[in-house]
Amino acid sequence: MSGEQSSGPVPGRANDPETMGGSAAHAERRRTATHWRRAGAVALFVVLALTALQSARLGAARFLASMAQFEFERWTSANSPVGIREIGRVDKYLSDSLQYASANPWALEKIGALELARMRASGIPREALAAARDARMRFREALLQRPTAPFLWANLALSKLYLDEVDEELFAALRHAGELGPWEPTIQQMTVFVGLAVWPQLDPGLRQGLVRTLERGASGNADNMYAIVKRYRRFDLICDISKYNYIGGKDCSKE
Amino acid sequence: MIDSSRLCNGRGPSSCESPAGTGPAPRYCGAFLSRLCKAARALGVFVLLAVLGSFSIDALAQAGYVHALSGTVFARDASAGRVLLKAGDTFAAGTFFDTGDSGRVVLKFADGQVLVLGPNSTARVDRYRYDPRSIKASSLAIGLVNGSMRFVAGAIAAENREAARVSAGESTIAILSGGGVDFTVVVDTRLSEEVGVAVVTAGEIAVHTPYGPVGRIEADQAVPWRPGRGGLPPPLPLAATPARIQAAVAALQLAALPSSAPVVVDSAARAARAAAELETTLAALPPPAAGPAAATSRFPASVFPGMPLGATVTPAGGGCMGSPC
Repeated sequence: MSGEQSSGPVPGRANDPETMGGSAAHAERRRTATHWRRAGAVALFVVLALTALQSARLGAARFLASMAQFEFERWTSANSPVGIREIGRVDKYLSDSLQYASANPWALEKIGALELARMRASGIPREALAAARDARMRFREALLQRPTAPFLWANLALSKLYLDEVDEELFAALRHAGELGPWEPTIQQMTVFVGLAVWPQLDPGLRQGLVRTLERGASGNADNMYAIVKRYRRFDLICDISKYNYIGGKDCSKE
Repeated sequence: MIDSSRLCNGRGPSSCESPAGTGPAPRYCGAFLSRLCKAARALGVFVLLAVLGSFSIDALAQAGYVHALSGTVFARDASAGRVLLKAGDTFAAGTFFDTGDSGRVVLKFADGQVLVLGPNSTARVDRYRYDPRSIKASSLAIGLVNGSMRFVAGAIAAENREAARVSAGESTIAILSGGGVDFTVVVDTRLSEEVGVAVVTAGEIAVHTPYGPVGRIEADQAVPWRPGRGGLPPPLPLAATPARIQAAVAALQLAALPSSAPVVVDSAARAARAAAELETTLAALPPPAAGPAAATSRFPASVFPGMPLGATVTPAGGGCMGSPC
């Protein structure tokens, strides 16, 4: 009897509303839990899918930026003038890269550099001005994400020089570039080039900083530094630095 | 009827004789005929001189010719008014040149001097006198009223630089180096106060601006001038000047220039006209035949050694994407 009671439904209790209500509630709880589990799984799947998608986009953006970087380095190693068709190809890589990741600072930096190159190649003042403005904007955007990149600061200073905006932002860019990349030869060249152009407006601290950059550049980058100083006819800045004597001795003796 | 060829055969009144040389001289072969013969001879000489003179005056009046142009360029002078220029046209001293928004013109002078005017420019040839046998007696005066102008010295400015006067707005330019000079000057006189820049490609110049003099500008250097900046800045490399200045100068540097050797204006003008016609014919050809010009164009040399673009980027970039580095 007890077996029957335990195995089958109990007639007396089967119709008990309380018992029936408890079972339904239990089933309802189970259903709800199942729904939540399913929803969680779907949400997790969506998150994972979005993450995968975002990773794929960033990967594509990075790949395209790397292609552009490869071209930049090839140009630099060849050290020959760059054709307009090549510039256009790299520009396409970079604009595609920005479509996948709109704030990619590497792509922004390279587009800024290309804009500066376009500015230099342009024979139309309005167009050149627009290119320099665009370059400045790209460097500023990139700096929001990479504020410790000395190349970005140096390029920002250069673009502001081309815009004839000799102001606190240019001085700050020069200062940051010098502080963040003191031994980087390219940074040395760029800061000296921009700094000598605005020398009359520089405060004593920045002037001293430039002289120190020239001193650092004397070891390992002397030829390039001397070439820039020579273009400005500012031999007075290097004649006291003994390491430049073997290059600039003749010019210093004229001074 | 009087046969004048027989009456006045070039030997004066004594040549008057009877037609067959047999009878006495006719009555009309007297003092009157002698005067008539003299007058006819004088008239002939006068006509001959007048014709020769007109040729030589014309030759002197032709200071130079239009070597090449693009866009719309007008010339105006006192006699002909305003004329639309084309390649091969000649011009005289006293001519004004006006270029339109996209106009650019290359003028070549008899002494080999070349003048390039950029867009929206006005310039005048005030004086031009060239004597190939005596450069000392030659002189020129050219003024840029507004816009941009490239000046490449010819024989006069190279050998007798004191005789070459060049002005831009209210500023005057002196050529310091003998043997040739190549400079560009851009000036905006439409503002209340003049703004300008002088850029030297070869040789040396000095500029006297309304804000003070610049004693010496050497090759690859530029000096901008404008009011209210506490005096003139020292000369800068062209590559360090503002973008609009570099572009204005580049527009004139890109133009293909003729050599600066002296020319005979008429024949050089004819050659320029023929070259322009050939260019027009080539331009009408389909692109594969003429060649894609843009594909072979090159960016200018870099500002910095080892940086072909004139700007550089962080080396080996691409890391730490999507996160602040």
